[in-house]
Order: sequence, then C-alpha cells, then structure tokens
Amino acid sequence: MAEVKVENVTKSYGRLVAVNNVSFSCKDGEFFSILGPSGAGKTTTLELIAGIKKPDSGKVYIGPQLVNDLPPQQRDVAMAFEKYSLYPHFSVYENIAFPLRAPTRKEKLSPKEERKKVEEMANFLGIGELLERRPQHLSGGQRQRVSLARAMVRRPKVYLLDEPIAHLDAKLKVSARTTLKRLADKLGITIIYVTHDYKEALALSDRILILREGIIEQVGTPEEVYLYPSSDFVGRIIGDLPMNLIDSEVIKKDGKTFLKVEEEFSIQIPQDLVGLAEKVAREEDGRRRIRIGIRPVYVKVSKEKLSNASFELPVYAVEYKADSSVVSFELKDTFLIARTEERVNWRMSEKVWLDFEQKHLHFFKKTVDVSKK
Amino acid sequence: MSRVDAKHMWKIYEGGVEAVKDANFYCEDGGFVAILGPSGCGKSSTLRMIAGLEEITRGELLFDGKLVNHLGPRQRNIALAFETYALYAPLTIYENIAFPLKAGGLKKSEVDKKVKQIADMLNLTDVLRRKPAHLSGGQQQRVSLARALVRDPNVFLLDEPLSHMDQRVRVVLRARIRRIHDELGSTTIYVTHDQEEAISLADSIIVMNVGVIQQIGTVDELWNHPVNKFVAGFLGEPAMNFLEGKIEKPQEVSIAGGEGEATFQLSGEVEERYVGGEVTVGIRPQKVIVSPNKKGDKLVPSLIEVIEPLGESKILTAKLDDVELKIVTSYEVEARVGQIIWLEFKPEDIHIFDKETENALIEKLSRNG
Repeated sequence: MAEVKVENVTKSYGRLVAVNNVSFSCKDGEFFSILGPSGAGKTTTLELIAGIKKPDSGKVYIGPQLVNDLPPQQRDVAMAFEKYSLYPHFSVYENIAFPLRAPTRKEKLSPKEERKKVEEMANFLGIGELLERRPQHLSGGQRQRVSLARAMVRRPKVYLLDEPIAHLDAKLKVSARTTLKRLADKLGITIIYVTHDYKEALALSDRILILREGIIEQVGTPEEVYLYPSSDFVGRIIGDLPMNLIDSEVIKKDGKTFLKVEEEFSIQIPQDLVGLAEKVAREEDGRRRIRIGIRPVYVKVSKEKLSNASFELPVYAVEYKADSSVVSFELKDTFLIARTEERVNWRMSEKVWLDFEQKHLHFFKKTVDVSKK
Repeated sequence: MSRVDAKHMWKIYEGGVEAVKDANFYCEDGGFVAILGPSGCGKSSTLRMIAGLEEITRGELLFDGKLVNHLGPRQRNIALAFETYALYAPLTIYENIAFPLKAGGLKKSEVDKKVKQIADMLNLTDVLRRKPAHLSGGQQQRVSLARALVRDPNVFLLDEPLSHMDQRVRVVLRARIRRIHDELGSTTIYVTHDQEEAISLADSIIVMNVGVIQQIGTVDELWNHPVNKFVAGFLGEPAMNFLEGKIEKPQEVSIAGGEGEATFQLSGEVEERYVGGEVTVGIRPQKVIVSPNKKGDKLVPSLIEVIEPLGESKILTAKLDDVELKIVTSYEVEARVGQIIWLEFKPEDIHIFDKETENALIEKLSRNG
C-alpha cells in the first residue's frame, strides 16, 4: 500500500485543458473519490496516475517514488473501468486469475494458492458460483463484479477504479456499493475512485475531491462537502434533490439586513450571518448581489405563517414521495424546491408560507447557471 | 380527454410468449396513472397496445366506453412522448412543435396561438427560432413533450421520458409534467421502471411483473399495504428487508436474533392456521428503530458492519445473525462499525408474507374481513 501524490499536474488535449494544475495527496489506505460531471477531467486524472497518459507538466508520486517516467506495468497499480473488458474466451475463473499470472509479477503462485485467492475474492463479491462460466453468459451486474474481482485479486500499491458500478440498476448498485465498502475496509487498501454519482462518493469515501472543468473545487470528508460546500457548484452536485440556488440583493433597512429575491419577497438574515453575507456579496450594477443556497429539506412549508421571516408563494406543482412531498415554486429566474416532512395535498396555485432554516443557509458567489431556460 | 379502460387485455406474441396476461385497469378522464415494473414485465407492450402500435391479442380497450381495438394510432388521437426525442433536425423548434397541427388543417393564427401557449408552459419561448442541435438535452426533451401535447390528444402516453436525464434536470421536468397535467387535465399514462418516478408523479400506480398486474393503488396503498413480496421489494430504496419469523399468536410474530428471540405485535391478525408456522417478515430500512441499548425484551440485537453516509441520512448495513439488514437513519444518529445496536419494529411497519405464495398475510385478512 502506498500514498499517492499529485503535484501541479496539467494535461491538455489540443486546446482543451483537461486537468489544470491539480495537486492533491491520497493517504496510505485511504478511500479517495474524484467526483464531477462528465468532462470534468476525472478519468484523465486517473489515467495520469496509472501511467496510461503522461502529464504535460507536474509530478506524480506513488509512495516515495516519482513515477512520471514509469510505464503502467511498473507502477504496480490495478485498474477497473466502467466498461468491463473481460476476455470473452476465458472463463470467469481465468479472467479473475489473469493478473496473478502476469509475466511481470515477481512471485509466482502455485495453482492451489491461485485458486484460493480467486475463490476468496469471487465468494466475497458473490460470484463464487459463476467461476466456470463465460462472460457472455453473465448479466451486466455479474460482469461488473468479475471486473472488480479481477482488479482486486492482487495486492498492488494502489487501486484505481473508474465508475466500476455505474452501469448497475438502482437496486444492484445499493448492494454493490456496500460490498465495495466492505472490501475496502477489509483490505485496508489505497483506492482512488472516479464517479459522477455523489451518492457513491459520499457513501464510500474517506475524502472526496470535487473536480470541475479540470480544476479542483473542494477536497473534504463526506460530511464537510455536504455540510460546508465551498461553492454553489459543490452544493448543487451533492444532495438527493439539488440544493436551491437563489440570487438576491443585500438590502439594509432600519438597521436590519434583508436578502431581496423578488419584489414579492425578502428574507431577513440573523445578525450573526450578516458578516458572512457581506463578505460573499459582490457589487453588480451598483447593487450588492449574493446567491443563497438552501437544501430542499431545510425549506419549511406550511399553510400558516410560522415566523416574521416567512414569505408566501403559490404552489407550482406537488410531487409525492413515500412519506413526504416535494413542492416546487416558480420564481422569476428559477425553481424553488421544498421537501416536506409529511405528505401534503396542496393544489397548484394554492398559496403557502415558506421559511428557510437559518442555520442551513449558505452564501455563494454565482458560478453555476440554474436559470429555467 | 378520455377515460381509458382495459378489460381482460392480453398480448401473446408469435411463438406463444405471453407478454401481458389478462390486464384489467382504468385511467379516469384527467387521471395520472403510472405503469411500473422491471424490464420484461409487459409495461411497454401494454403501452403499445393502448397507443395502437401493437395489436391486442384478446380483450378490450375502451376510450370513453367506446371500443378502440381496431382503430389505428391516429384515429385514437394519442400523443406519445418517448425516451428518445426524435426531433426534426432541419426544422426550428417552432416548426417542430407546430408539426402535428399541420395535418389538422388549422388556421395559421390558431396554430400560432397553440404553439406559443404550450411553449410558454414549458419555458421554450426564447428558443422557438432555434434548431434542435443548439438545445440542451433537457430543452430537447421539453420540445418533444410540447410537440406531443400541442394537439389536445385523448390520451397522453409517456414512455420513460426522463430516463436519460441528469438528476438535476429531472426534478424540474417532473414538476413541469405534473403541472401541465394539472393545468390541462390531460389523461396521462406514464410507463417507467423507476419506482421513484412513478411515486413522484402518478395518482395511481399499476405494478407489473412477468406480464401480470400485481397491484394497483395509490402510493400509500402500495407503500404501506403491498399485496405481495414482489411489490414490497420493488418499491423503495434500499429495498425492504426480509427476515425469517414465526407466528406466535394471530397478532404476534417472533424474530430470532442473538441468544434469544423478540416478539413483535402486528397491526392486524394473521389467519389462525399460520400460528406456529414460519413466515417472511418485511420491514422497510426507513422504519427500523435503532437504540444503542437493550430496552426490555422487545428488541433484537445486530452488529453494524458498514456505514454509508448520504448527506441527510446514512445507511447502516447490519447483521442479524446471518441476515443482512439495511437501516436508514438520520445523519445525526451516532453509529460505528462493530457496534451492537438494538432494533425495534412498530406494528404498523411490519409486513408478513407467506413463505410459499409470497402473498401478504395481514393485508389479505383485512380485505376478506
């Protein structure tokens, strides 16, 4: 096992800068995820660590060793990709055993030792019964697990996993995620994990790096990136229902501070948040503009006016959930979404009162387009 | 808009494959119904029969009480929106939306009025002069919806219209679909494999598996009173936990765990003949109550093996003897791997299924009663 360090790494494809001066280090034994939308540079980052691509500038270390000039097979990393390229004419057993038989491997295993390793991994991933089958006779989920078993069967310094469970349906994904977490805990291995799915990143990782157009937005524990997103981009990418992002203007009136969203409503902010809001606010056309971030669960909706800060809006639509509802409201520029704790049966255009839970308010600079267009 | 009735509807393909077996359901005029099931369950065949794209092998399909079995798609006046939005690339968005109206011989000014009205509802007014290639995926999907809706169909059929959408786009599009339905009062039938989608939108959900309708009901009915283990397991994520249990009394089930066993009250009664017999006990991950300490003898112990934080909540994977359980708790609940926790289930959250037939036992009794 080893630490992985990436220092000021840049990689361009023609004029497109895929990875832009990125630095991070993944600790020995850490489960480290790289999260971002497609085109963020996630896979390129992984390929640079694997040695499949060479950086234009910057350094990659695996353990204490600078590996920039080492070919992939000498870096002692294992990879599993989204597209499970299994060998179709090999059995599942042979597919999994393949990395153990690689000629570059120093220690040779006896057939008995090899079988033990393969079976142990296959049983752990729930494919122990399938060892004699050919890949084409497996379901997508089974193939993905074979691919994972093949990557995990040997003990390299680092595992690099690129969306290894992305193709599974929702139900299988839940169980595959747990299996993977269990495996990582059991082996205590260093894993760098690429995903576009925030749930996988939160559920699995010790720390998460959020990448946007080749640039790091934030690095932190699942709790940190969820509770303290550093930008509207991070707030938006993490969370079941996307975080509401609402643009407003900072207004002072009678010694109080308000955030004015539209003519119809302003929100008063408590004194202890004023300093923060002032710091984040930006001058724009002579107005102090600020973006409010609030997760749908922290938007309280009620038929009654709950506080002085309550504001009234007509319901756009109500969606059901098993134990709750999702109520949407149409603002001038965007939609505001609220998740209720109990089921509500409001009709469209019915007016209801909203409150933002103050301690869950975030303030951002505007960097993401959330307009209705 | 029309009411839709399917009566003993079958689809049998050449070679005898029974894709849809004896389907009976209806969608009220202005209703919103979802047909939900895994791939191969017969939901798409059902939709295609309603649309007139597929012959009905046996049974009757009625629109407002009139038999439409032998009418073609056009005569049925159906609007279809598919997962893949096939827009006409050389035409502008305006022309794409207006296209279905061309055949109808409407006046130009009326066409214009309709296109603009629907474009406004779907927030497409600003892009009417553009070509499809210049639109985002979400916008293209909205154009596809607009085109389907523009000509006042009898029935609006949606086949997995949001499957390929990004989660963030979906939330808003779902709200729009629901809003349009509420505004136009359109009879809408929505096919999906995604239980969350079905729950979000529909007033009534038809759950299908292997060609057979398993249950028809509101979200509440399906969620709280699934008629069998399939429906119970298909709705909800993570899926419902299933444990072994023994019926002690008509209103009491015991679950073994650790050294002993714990007994739990049921919300209703199970038939007398099950007393002393083994059953499958179902409990949703969201409904497991967790305590760090043993309280009386009402709880079963389990060992936390994996913790997956998900923001507002976290999923615990715990072992109750050999059975793996999923438990969803608030992120504020403290838990660590290797910890023993005690589990409690409330009567109304316990589901009981026959081990052989997999039918719900409590529900069945209350229905018969």
